[in-house]
Amino acid sequence: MTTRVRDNETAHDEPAQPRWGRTTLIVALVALLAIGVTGCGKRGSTGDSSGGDSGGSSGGSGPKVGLVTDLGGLNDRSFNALANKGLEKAKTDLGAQGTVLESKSASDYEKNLGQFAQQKSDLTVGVGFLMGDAMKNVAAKAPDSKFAIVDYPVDQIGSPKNVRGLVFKEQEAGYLAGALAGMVEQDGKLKGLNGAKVVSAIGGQKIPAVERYIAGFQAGVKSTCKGCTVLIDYSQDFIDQSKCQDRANAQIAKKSDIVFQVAGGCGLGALDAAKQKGVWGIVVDADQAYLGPHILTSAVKNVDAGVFDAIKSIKEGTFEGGTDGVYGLAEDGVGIGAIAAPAKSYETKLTTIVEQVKAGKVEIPTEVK
Amino acid sequence: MRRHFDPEALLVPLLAVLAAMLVGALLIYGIGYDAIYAYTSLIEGAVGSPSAIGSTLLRATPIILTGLSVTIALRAGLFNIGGTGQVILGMLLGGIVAIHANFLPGPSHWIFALVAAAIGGGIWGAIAGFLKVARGANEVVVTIMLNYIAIRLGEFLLGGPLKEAGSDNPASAEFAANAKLPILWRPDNFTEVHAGVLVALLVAGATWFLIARTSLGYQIRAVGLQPDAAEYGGMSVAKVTVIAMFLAGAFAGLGGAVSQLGELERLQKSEFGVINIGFTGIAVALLGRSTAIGCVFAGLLLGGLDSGAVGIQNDNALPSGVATKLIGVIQGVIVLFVGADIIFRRLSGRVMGVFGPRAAKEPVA
Repeated sequence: MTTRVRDNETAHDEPAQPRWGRTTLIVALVALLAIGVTGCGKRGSTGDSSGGDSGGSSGGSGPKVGLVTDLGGLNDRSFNALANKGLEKAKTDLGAQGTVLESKSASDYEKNLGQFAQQKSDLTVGVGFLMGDAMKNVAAKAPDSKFAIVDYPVDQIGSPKNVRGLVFKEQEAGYLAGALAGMVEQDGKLKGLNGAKVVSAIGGQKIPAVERYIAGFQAGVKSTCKGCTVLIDYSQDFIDQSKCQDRANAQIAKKSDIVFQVAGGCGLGALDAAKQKGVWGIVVDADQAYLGPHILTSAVKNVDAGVFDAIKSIKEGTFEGGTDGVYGLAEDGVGIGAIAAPAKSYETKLTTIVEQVKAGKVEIPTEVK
Repeated sequence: MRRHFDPEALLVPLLAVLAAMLVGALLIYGIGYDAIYAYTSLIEGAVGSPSAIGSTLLRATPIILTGLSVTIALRAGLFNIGGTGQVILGMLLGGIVAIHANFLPGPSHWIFALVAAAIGGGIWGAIAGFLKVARGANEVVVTIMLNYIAIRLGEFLLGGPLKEAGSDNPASAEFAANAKLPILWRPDNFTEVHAGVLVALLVAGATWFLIARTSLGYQIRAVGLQPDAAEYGGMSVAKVTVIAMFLAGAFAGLGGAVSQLGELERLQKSEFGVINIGFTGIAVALLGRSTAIGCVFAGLLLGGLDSGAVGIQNDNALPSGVATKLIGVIQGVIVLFVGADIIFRRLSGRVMGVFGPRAAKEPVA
């Protein structure tokens, strides 16, 4: 730079005249308006710390429970929503007092869990394995508080004595969905089937829960359709629908006519692909039959059952930390959702399989072959 | 240097906030809840206790930095929408140094990690600056595109090269203990206010000094006001553009790194797609009238609202899931009103027109 610039003043002339008159007037007007609006709406139990009829009901006199969602938030129609459903049930059935904190970023986890520990909640529930680190830190700082973490085996964070993992036998839900898919393929009567006896699964990532679903699905298909082929692919993503749509289209091009999505929000793209190509889709985690008539069924994980059970154990004084609560078909922790109308005829056969799995008569693998 | 205090610089943001709170109150009544109770909880959650203040500070820290990022670019006449990407580059480079540069002794580890974050974000910003001066590519478009590239880059790295060996989770190894930011204040057992707060204040001070007191700052302002005149005056618009975008990126990169190294143990793949501090930075800069000091206050205000959302949820003042959305609405309306400050100017002009016409002004640094 050749020019030496010394003048730091702005080039503009600023009006020297103060404007406090105008400022004060407007502020006063707005303040008046604010008081007016809030004042006339005032009613009922303002300031009542229990929330009363003005706030969301926080429940009765049972255990104080805090729930921390992950980044998906309460309206994810999946994990967080189901965990909250479990809490709501505990409010009704056990008189629990529930409070939910939504996390907006990864750094919120520890703050939110800490908030509940600080307030001496009887149980603090974290939803999802993303909260592992935060759970570990907070649990160590609050040895007298009790915690539960959904979908995370506690041995991964050193099995702290005050944390219970809530894990699910996804392989059993996958197995049932697979068994239905196998029966459908074997008969080949439903519309949209191409007779090639190929089905497929799309995982979000090779993480344990996803692998258990797919391993169960694989075994389930083989159990009812010996000659069936199961294609498996991973989208490496749980959010971006276009990625799952691409993978599903590739599988459908390879003659797959039933696509099982195990990729959360991304998987909706796979189901779209199935719909567009006139084949069948199977949903994961929550029962999402409402997505349309192309949904064959859903492999469901009842996160709510696990959360409710953990709260119940607090109320009954049977909470056991440092270990996992494992929820399978027998505990109503996993299951199968509504079945598409044209496939209803398979329901009886499926019920038999459900009974067999419940009774522990079927060996279901947890690793994809 | 002497300046007249301009009450209007304070008035518009203040009115915008009040108006937004009013809209929020109407919404709360609209869905059948008690706005006074909700707002009491909000204020308690933001400033009602040492813990709440700590939480507000923590939430304000990254958005003050991204706000300064948008500010420095705006002063050079550039709209930096690339906060997200620059934040991610800061997280990644800061994170890599924090995980792997174990040879760095003592506090030099975290200091160097922050420097790496600033350089990473800075380069990401400078790319947009360079493309603008070299090819005339609009920085708005380029920075938006760079955001997506950064998100995918982060997801790629955490899915493979940076993933912790032997782990099933798409996350990196833990940061070294020395790389974690020192804790300045513990209002309670669980709230740890880290040195990132100081970093944000230092950067804000440096930004003010740069803009108001240095030759480079003068050039940035000159280019921002009228690039042709600046060029004619002997300044290199190209150089100033690239430098301003580098600084913008560096500030955002720091914003990404301070939360990461202050509050988290490792990088997680799931973080990148949901980063919002880059965009919140735009709100902070607009509300802060593109001034360094304004960014600090705007960041504290928006951080306080975020913290207040926890207060609302905590008191069950609104149904679960509504509080965070409500705060989003309030923040959005604030930005809307600040952006549409012409409404307030007109309004105030109508009411108080007797005071005469007003001149367009460059904001105070």
